[in-house]
Order: sequence, then structure tokens, then C-alpha cells
Amino acid sequence: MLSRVANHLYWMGRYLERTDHLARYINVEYFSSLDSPEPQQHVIALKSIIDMTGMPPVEDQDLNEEEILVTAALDDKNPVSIISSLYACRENARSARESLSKELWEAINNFYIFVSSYPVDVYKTRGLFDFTTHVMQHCANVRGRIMFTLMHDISWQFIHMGLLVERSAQIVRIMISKLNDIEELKKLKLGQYMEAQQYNILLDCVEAKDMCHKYYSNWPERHATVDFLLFNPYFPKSVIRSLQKLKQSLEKIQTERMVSQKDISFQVGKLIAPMEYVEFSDIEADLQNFLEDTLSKIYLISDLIAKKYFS
Amino acid sequence: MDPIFDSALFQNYATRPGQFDEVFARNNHIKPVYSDLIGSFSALSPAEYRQLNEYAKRSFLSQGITFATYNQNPRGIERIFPFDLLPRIIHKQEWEVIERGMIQRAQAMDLFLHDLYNDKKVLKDKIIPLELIHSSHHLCRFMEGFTPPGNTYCHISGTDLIRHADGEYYILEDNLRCPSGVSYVLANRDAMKKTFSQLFKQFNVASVMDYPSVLLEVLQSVCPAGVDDPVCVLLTPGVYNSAYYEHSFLAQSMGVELVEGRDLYVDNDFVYMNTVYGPEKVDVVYRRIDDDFMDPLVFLADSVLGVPGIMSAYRKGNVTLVNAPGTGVADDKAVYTYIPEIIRYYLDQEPLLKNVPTYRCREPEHLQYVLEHLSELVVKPVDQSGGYGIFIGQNASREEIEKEKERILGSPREYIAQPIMALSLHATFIEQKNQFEPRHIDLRTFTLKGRDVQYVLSGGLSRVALKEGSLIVNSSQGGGSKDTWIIND
Repeated sequence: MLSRVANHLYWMGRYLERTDHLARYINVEYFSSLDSPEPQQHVIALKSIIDMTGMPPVEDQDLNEEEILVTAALDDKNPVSIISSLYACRENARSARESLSKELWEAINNFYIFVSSYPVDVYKTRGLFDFTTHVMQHCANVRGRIMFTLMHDISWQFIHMGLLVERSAQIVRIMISKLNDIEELKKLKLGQYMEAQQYNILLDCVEAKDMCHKYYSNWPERHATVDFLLFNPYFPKSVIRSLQKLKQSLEKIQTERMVSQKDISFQVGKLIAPMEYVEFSDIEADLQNFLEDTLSKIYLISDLIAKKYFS
Repeated sequence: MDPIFDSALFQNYATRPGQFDEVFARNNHIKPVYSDLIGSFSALSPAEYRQLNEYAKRSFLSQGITFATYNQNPRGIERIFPFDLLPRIIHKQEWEVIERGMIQRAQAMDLFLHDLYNDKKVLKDKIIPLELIHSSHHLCRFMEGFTPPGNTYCHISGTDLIRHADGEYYILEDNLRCPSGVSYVLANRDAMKKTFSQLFKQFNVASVMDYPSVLLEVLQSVCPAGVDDPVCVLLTPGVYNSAYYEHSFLAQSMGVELVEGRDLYVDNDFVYMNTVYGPEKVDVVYRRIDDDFMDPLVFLADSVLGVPGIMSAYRKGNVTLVNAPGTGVADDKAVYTYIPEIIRYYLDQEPLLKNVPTYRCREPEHLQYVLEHLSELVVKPVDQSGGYGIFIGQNASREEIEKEKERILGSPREYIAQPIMALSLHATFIEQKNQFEPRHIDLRTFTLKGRDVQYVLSGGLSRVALKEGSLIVNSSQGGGSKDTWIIND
């Protein structure tokens, strides 16, 4: 397969996954802050959306809710908005269209038609929930087409790796943002119940709440939440699961020569292996640093893939 | 009585005196070949028809069969090519003549090009004036003394036909470089089948779905000598090209890689593509970029679309280019006028299809006639495509005619003139009026030719000039298209 096409497929996967996380984060953060007794929590939610999506920071007094929500979702001049991310997903798909199934291409194209024709006025007034929910459904639909309408051959592995890299990166980013929110909220002294509620919100941002409750048979707190999202061996979105799957993908497409030269999957294995033997107590004291470090490892893995296969 | 008089879609339909209507005879009697079809259409109310029309449009949009214009929005405003649901019908008997005529023409073109780039007998025998060929922009000196694999130059030709007021078909022009449009034939057929599934069962419509497999057969048939299992690729200028949909569609339906110039490189006169496992040799390149952009070492030095060194690999016989470079010299509108002589010269046969009578401004007697009869003529630059630079005398003011005279006298070689051919009319749905009206149409046919392969796509792309009275059918200038049915009863 062409290196250029592999590159397009990889980024198609990354942008699709990013679009999903953006939509869910906006949805969960915004709606969970609406019924808070503390108005400051709403401000924190808006700032958190700015932080997680990667928009330039704004001072408290300049926060304009409507503007933030529109910019994060439908502003095609904002390079990190939902629409821009989806546009990039579709352009990558379009550039590799002959390697995709018709069903997958049309699912992506119809997704883009839905987002690009969504009326901003409706979104602003009553459409936030409807819009973000539909975006998430479209993402699930496209992922289904990736899963079941393509051969799981080398092209598919590149899409899959794109999804996994972006998924692990987004989950770490969401954790960084959300743990930061929780620190801010602590200062407001709203009590233990409100803090616990924040862990539920974090789990909701990753569609992990129910499974986390089930796994620990308990109301989630810091330890359980972080452990579940980073290290759970059964939950498909945990960071370690994504990275292990990524390594398996690399092993599937490597040649014997690459194996003997301790090439890419070996290098990636070296980055991942230490994380497989970490537990919460090892990182508790310096969690933020651990997360930042993990994020930079994920980006390094992405660079290694690009260098090996796309140039 | 014909059912159309009770049909809201057709009741105001008026044939035009002196013009050939494909569907209706005088007094709005339906022509026999269309009677069942119009019967079915006239049973629909305008509301029902609109619904089907919307459905078809949505299906094009969701398949992404669109073209983008970038002047309002940097990401492009996407539009679909207008598609008319009422198909154009050609009876099989009539079609067989066209088919034979196309094969004849394709054979003559290949012989002509080979002669032109090798022995030049056609010039020595003064069938075509030497300086006409030498002044053509598309003459490719790099092809001198070279014979491409299978002796084939024009693997894919797109020939435009019209039907004049006399009911006869005439060839309007040949496109021998990178003719486009075939993917719309297949997409139109697909949309028709989905929208009017019931109708399809009643008619015996010739399939068009075999085109990609025959095209692949053609590509494989002309691979370099000694290659058993050729790697064929389709070379596209990229996603921003207006025909990108077609490129990716054809690559996908043939199962070949769609490559851009940056994916290919030449090493030691062989062509390779960059794959995730390193270089892979390429044997046949169906290129959808013009000669000028193919190889910056030989043609335009600043082209980034092409592949440096590919022409040298081609001359060494290590890669086949489809179509061959330098075919443009044969679809030059000035050379077009000599095609009947070319057919007689090489095949010793009478042309099966007529050329539109053409005046060559380079010949003094013709020039004289053209200057005196500008108001009855259409003047075309010889090397422009897409309907650009055309002068239509009929509606021109005195000043415009004077300006046109100056333009022609400036470089007579650059122009030909033809009588105003009345393109035939076809009932076409006009959205703004909610009814069918007559609009002018032509027909682009697609012919494939390889080593021991000859094929004409059954039907082709019927293009419609949607503007009332307009004769310009090109999609870049407000044209739409129709499905074309070759039927056998």
C-alpha cells in the first residue's frame, strides 16, 4: 500500500476519534454544570472546554458562553473545533477513498453533511444536546463501518492505529483537564459529595461510568477512577489497553526484517512496557506529571509510526 | 390520445419548429421508442416527481459525487452535477452504427498517430498539410520514432456526437487526451436504477457496468514486454482536481492504486511507487494529467504533478503511459476536419459517421467564406476545451462580429468555423417551472482500445444545456446530464 494512503488512513482514524471526544466532552461538561448550586462551577466547565479542546485561554471576565460553545463546535476558522476536525477526517478519507468501502465513505460523508449543514442558530438556542448526541452517534456508526465493512488487512491496521493513538491521547488529555477542574473545585469547599460527582463526570466523558461502578462495586473516587482509565485490563478505552492494541497492530504489519532489526514495534514496546507495571500508589503523588509524560510518549509513538511508514 | 395532455408534467410541452426533438414528433405525439417511458412519467404528479428528484439529488450528495467551487469558501462549496431523471433512449439498431463508427475512428486514429510520429506518409502524400501538424501545440517531439506497446495511442477516447435538425448524428469533436465523464454515466445509471426500479424491469437496457473491467483489461493488455502480472496505477493530480471523484471511482472499481505524482519516482529508467514496505515497480500508468505536466525534465519544468524521468522510462519501454503522449495532435479541432480523409487513407473505408462540415480559417477560400458569413457560423479556437472561447454568430451584434473578425484575422490557424448545428432537443425537467421543457443535448461516447480489445460503452453521457435555448452543454458552464439507454425490443 502507498505510504501516502497509509498516512491518510491513519489521520482519518485520528480525526474521527478526536471528533467523538470533543463532542462528548462538550456535552458532558456543559450539561453536568447546569444544575450545580455553585455558579463558579459553570465557569470552570466553560474553561475546561477551552482547555480540553485546545482553544486559546480566556480570562474569567471575558468568558462568553455562547461564543465558546459555537467556536468549539461549529466554527470552521477554529482549527480545533468539531467541524474542523471532521473536515480533516473527511479530507483524509477522500484522499484515500479508493481504499475504503463505499459504505464507510458514505457514512463519513453523510456525517460531514450533517455537521456542516447544522444551523448555528438552532445549535445556540436549543440544539447543543441534539447536535453533540448526533455527532457521537455518527462516530459510532462510522466506527462500525470501519469494523465491519473493511478487510482487517494492512490498510485497516493504519486506521486502527490512528484510532488508538488518538483515543489514548484524548483520554489522557481529558484526565488532565478534569483533574485540574477538581483541584479548582476543591478550593470552593463544596464538600465530598460534589467532588465525588466530578469523578462521575470524568468517567462519563469517556463512556466509562457504568463499567467502572460495576468493576469496583462502589461509588468512584480518585483512586478507582484513575486506575480504571489508565490501567484497567478489560475496559477497551483504558490507556494501557489502547497502547497494547497499538503494539499488536504494529506487530501484525511488520516484516521479518523489521523484527530482526528491533524496529518499530520493539521501540514502541520499550515505551509502553514500564506502564504495564505501574499502580496507582506509584504515581499518586505526582499524577499530573505522570499524565503529561504519558501524553508525550503517545505523541512520540505517533512520530515513530510516521517516520517508519509515511515518508 | 397521447397521455401527456392530461399530465401536469408535460401538458405545456411545445416542440420547436425546425428542430429535432428526440422524444416528441409534431403535435406532441410521442415517438414510438419513448411511448412506454413517457407513459410512466406522465402518471406522476409534479409533487411525486419532485420527491423522486430530491431523492436522486440526495443520493449524489451522500455519495460525494460533487464538484467544489472555492471562490466563496476556502473549504469549497460543494455542488452536485445536475442530473435529469428522464433518460435519453437510442434504439439498438441505431446504436450499432454509432458503435461501428467509433471503432473505425479509433483504429484510424492509432494508425494516423503512428504514421505521424514515424514514417509520415500522410504528410508526404499531402493528405494533411505539413505546417498544420507542425504548428499544433500538442505535437510531441518526444514521441518521434517510437512505437508504444500494442501500437496503441488512444486507449481511451471520448467522442462527442450531436443530432442535427435532419435527425442525423454528427461527430462534433474527439477527445483523445484525458476524456472525462464516464463515472457520471455509471453514477447516473445507479441513481436511475434506485429511483425507478420498476421502470428498469420493463425495458431491456444495455448495461454500462462492464466499463471498469474492460478498462483494466486494456491497461493490462498494453503492459511492457516481458511483464507477466503488471502493476497498473491511476495517476491523479489530487483531491482538488474537478474530476477527482472519477479518478478515485475508476481506481477503486478496477482495484488499482490511485497515485499522485509525489508517490512515484524513477530509478534507472524504471518507475516505482513508495509503499509502506518500500518501493514497488509500476508497469502501466493510466494518467489523468496532461502531457505538459507529466515530466518536469521534458515538459513544463515547474510541474509538481508529474514524475521526473518518467518519459525516459517510457521511451525505454519500461512503463506504459495511457493514453500515449502526443495524442492531442489528432484531436486538434483543425485536424478534426481531416478525419474523414484520414479514415479513407488508412482503412480504405468510407467513414461511417459524419463530421460537421467545417471551414478551416487557415485556408484562404474558407477564411473568406467565414468572414462573410460570421452571423451563420460558430467559431471555435482549435485547441481549447470546456466550451471556452466559442463565438456564436447567430445572436452577435454588429460590433461583436467586427471584433470576432479581428480575432480570427490575428491568427487564422487558431480558428475553425462550423455552421450552427442545431443540437437535438430532449424533454428535461425544469425545477423552477415544475414541468418538462425541451433542452438541447449532445452525447459523449467512450471508446476503449488495447491489444486485441475494442469496446464502446453502450450509450454514454447525454449532456443537457439547462439554460433555455443554450447550446453549451459543458458541466463547467451550467450543463447537466441524463442517463442514456440503448434498448432492444
